[in-house]
Amino acid sequence: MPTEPAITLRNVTFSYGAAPVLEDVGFSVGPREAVCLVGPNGGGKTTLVKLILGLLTPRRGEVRLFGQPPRSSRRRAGYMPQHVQYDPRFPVSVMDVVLMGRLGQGGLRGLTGWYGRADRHAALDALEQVGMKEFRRRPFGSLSGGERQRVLIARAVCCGPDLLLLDEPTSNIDTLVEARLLKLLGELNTRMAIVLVSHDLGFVSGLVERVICVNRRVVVHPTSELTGETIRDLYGSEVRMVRHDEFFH
Amino acid sequence: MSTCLKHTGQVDNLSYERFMVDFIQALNDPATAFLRYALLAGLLASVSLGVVGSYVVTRRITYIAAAIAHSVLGGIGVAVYLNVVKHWHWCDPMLGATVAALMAAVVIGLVSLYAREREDTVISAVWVIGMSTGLLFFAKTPGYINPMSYLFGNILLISARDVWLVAAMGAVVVALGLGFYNKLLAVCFDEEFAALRGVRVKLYYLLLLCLTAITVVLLVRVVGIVLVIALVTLPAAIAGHFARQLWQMMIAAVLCSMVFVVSGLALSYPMNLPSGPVIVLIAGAAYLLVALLARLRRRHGA
Repeated sequence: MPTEPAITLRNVTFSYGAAPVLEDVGFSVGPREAVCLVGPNGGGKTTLVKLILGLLTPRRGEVRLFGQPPRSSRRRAGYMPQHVQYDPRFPVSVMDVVLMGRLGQGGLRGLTGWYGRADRHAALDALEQVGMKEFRRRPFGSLSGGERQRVLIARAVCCGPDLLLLDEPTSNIDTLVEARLLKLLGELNTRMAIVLVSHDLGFVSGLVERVICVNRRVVVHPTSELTGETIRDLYGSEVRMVRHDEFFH
Repeated sequence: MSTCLKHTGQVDNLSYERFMVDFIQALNDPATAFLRYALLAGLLASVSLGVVGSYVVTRRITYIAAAIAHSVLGGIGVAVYLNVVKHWHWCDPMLGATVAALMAAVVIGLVSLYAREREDTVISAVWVIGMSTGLLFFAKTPGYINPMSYLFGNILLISARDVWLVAAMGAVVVALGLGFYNKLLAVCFDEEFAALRGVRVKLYYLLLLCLTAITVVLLVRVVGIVLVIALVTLPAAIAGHFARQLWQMMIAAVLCSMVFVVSGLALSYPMNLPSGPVIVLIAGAAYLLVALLARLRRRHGA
């Protein structure tokens, strides 16, 4: 079990062009902590996730994943991207997609990428946890948006990670599945750190201890401090607050 | 061989059964061994075509495959020149073709991965530089060399040695293509995620381009470098209409490719037509038919 922080950012600045997307960002996430990144579109949430995973390199500052540069430790992270650029006619089954989470292991099997019985077992288990096991033989491209999202969550879980990074996991998912997902994340959180990107503060407030507000700069709030006012400041406009505590079990 | 070619050349109203009988007889005739070699080379190459073609089509790099194919002419030109002018007798056109194809694959791959050039510009540049190099070296080689036989294939030039070469190179391609199936699938489907799982994405992309390069070379004798791209893409594209998983696509593409090669040779030889274009036209017609049927079925289904 890791004891060092899962994520540490110090004075991180990043820009695609001239204008900085993120400026002087610093925070850390504990080994068994759950946090949520919130903020307006274009505020830098996905950029921040990609910096954490070493998919992007900061202009200034330092990113550490389990105390190491992200590129050397990112196999310990399970990642669900917001968008997968994929061809709907790509001939790949749900099971094929989830099994990709088992790539990158050591030894001879890691070299060739062949899957063993343990890998299949882990993939089926992950599919079961998101309620998609009966879809395992279906072509990935034939699924609805919400179903695809659940498969991608299963792929991230199937990595056996110490940190789970989910970018907008609930954007296409209905409230019933959402409740189930919340329960799953609660269980997983006993074994791993979780970082969610979400607009849905109602969904995350039962799970996360802190909300990290990202809009070029970063401000961290404990969940209990969140009020309509702080959210309004963050998004820069009136936000409709919907309480749905009734789905928390 | 001559009797067979003569009477089919002059008589148009013979029945197709007669053509088939001629074709099967010719396959057994020692005088037309090249036909047997062409059939064998085509069937062996079909296995690589199905495996690599499926990656090429799903990863959407058919244009890169086309550029690699055309650049092969440069390698052939240099090899023929060295062979004739410099008396490097070991320098076979197929060796030149292989070296040129691999060079083109690595150049396109590295430039598209690392340089900030537009990928399609680089692809076009490699395409025309390769062809021009080939034509210049042909021009400087004494004696008449017909580039047509390399561009569009000529089954008369196929030897037993070529068949062995196709078998050996095809075996390497298929072993690598299937051995790293899971990694190549992950790289084709979701490169970013594959990288996060520690897969060396750039390396496997280059591997895929090199496998494509070798596959293209396998069929230069039979269908030629201009037409080979049809056999890389069309069988896989047809298979894609039926397959739910990549390995199913590969199997179906191998079978399609074999059918096109056999039927193309069986049709072209007795009718005294060049076999490359006939094979490609059969593949093209089959692809259009399947695409049309799929469209009709979708409309009815909806």
